[in-house]
Amino acid sequence: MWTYILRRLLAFIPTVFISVTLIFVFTRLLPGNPVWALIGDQSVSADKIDEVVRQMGYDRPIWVQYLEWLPRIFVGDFGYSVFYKEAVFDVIVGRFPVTFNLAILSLIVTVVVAVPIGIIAATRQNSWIDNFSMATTTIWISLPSFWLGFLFIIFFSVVLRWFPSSGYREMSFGFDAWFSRLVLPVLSLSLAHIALLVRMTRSSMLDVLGNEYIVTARAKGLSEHKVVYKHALRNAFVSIITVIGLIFALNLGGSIIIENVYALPGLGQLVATAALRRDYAIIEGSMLYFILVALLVNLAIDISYTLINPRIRYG
Amino acid sequence: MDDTGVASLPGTGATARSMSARWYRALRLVFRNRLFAVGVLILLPLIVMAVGVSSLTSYDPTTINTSIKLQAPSLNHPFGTDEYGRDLFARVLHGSQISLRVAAAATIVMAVLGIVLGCLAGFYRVADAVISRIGDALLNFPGLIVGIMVMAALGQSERNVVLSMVIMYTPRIVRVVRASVIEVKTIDFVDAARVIGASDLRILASDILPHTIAPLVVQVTFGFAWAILVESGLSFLGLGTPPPAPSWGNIISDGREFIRTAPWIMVFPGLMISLAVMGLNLMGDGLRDILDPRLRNAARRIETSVG
Repeated sequence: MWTYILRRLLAFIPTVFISVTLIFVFTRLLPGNPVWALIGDQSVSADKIDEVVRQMGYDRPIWVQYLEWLPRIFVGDFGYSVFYKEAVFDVIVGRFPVTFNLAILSLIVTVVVAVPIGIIAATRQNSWIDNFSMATTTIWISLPSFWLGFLFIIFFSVVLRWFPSSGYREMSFGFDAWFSRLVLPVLSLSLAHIALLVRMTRSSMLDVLGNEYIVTARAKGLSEHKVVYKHALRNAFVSIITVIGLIFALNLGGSIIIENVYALPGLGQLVATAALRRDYAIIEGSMLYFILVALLVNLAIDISYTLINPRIRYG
Repeated sequence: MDDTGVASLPGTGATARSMSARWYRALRLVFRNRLFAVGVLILLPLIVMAVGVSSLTSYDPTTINTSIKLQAPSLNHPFGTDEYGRDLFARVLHGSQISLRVAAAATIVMAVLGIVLGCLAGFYRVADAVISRIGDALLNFPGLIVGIMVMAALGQSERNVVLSMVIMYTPRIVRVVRASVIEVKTIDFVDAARVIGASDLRILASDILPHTIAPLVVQVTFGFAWAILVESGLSFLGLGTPPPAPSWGNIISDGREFIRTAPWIMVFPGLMISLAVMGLNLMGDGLRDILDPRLRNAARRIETSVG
């Protein structure tokens, strides 16, 4: 088991390395480079441009820039944002809790709703729950999340006045203030993923339930409850947990759009604003942060396999 | 059920008559699948509307007339008007032209690029090391962040939207093509072709490529749906098709300020997006059932979600 975990950790290093390099390539080698973003529409002399280029170190060979950049980002030095007049890392860390709250709450809602529905759909095939969920999953994954978000605002905030339509309050303002502002964002983010996870759970349960050891378990007279929850679910969970990890990454990505619908001051809103202003330092830093979190989640999922399914230990 | 639909890929020097008979049989087979048929039924009207937009409405989508601003849907303006008095029915219909055009362009480019890179990665180990590493790294980035980065660097234009979608989605197509190339290349007929002296290119084109078509078609259909969602998402963030072009995402974005007073502005374009995406997703599900029955699980659906 420990060799497996060690092997995963070793494989993790090149993955991080490649992703991080990709970010460097994106921000440095695409046209519209950071210098022009800083200068913007001002008319400046060629000398002035040269000066900015030199100040930012962009006149040096690209590999020198890369070698200097690489070690810095691993100690959390993501540069300085001229727009926020603050270190990029601090700006991001200040914003991350909102995004994390949104992503985690969404994940919890998704799992709590979807896994039971998926199990029921698999164990009672062609029941109304099975038919209904299979018929509607395609609808849920086809709705643009931001549009769904606006529909929720129209219905739940404007018409029914149940929840505030936008903004964020920290938990220190009270649970209600915090929770009521996250209900609609979480709901808009979760629906499509619930649909995905229901399908996934159902199909992996059906796969497992078709196995011979399930027939054996039934034949030796175990209760249906024990067969489903003890024998089948444990094995189905290996593929379910992959999807759960994927959904966390989808939630992080989805938060970019949802935060802009509900004016939540998280990373997603930060990135979108930075992109509009071409604030390269922030864009680069957020990409780094997003990818590192996503990769760490992947790693955690990989390792958790060993805990659920002992067969993988030596795999 | 006969499987002639799968086998009747064009080629093999058939006469014109038997070709059309084959196509007819293939079409019948495909439309017998309920999911596919429903998907086409949903999508077809949208395409007809996008193509025939000028005969469906006489209003111009960008003409400003503030004397009729923010009107609710009526007989004269079936989808209402926006804050500049522009007719929303005209805007949404013209929008379907833009949104479908951008998504279709992206889909075609990523399909072609995906085939080429997928074949290279599946056939040559060295190419695989480079292509798959970079592709996997790209797929690890959550959501639209790569597209956002590209749009920020290159600026808003239809071409750049297409480019950013191609960068984000091509790795998924490469994966699918690569997997089927690797599966096929160990089969005996590839060795046989090599023994009679066929070049790599010929083996790829005539022996391997036809076997990648089925999974490719499925993945590309989902890719089209994905592209429509992404175009609207980027436009909503202000990083997509440049306004005042009425792409569906742009209209929704315009409507956000008027969500309390004129909710109809965003309702209709959103419905169009949902219908188009749903139609394509259903078609993709249907095609997968027909062409690739082994892959009937939901796993790859997760890849079409934008979140």
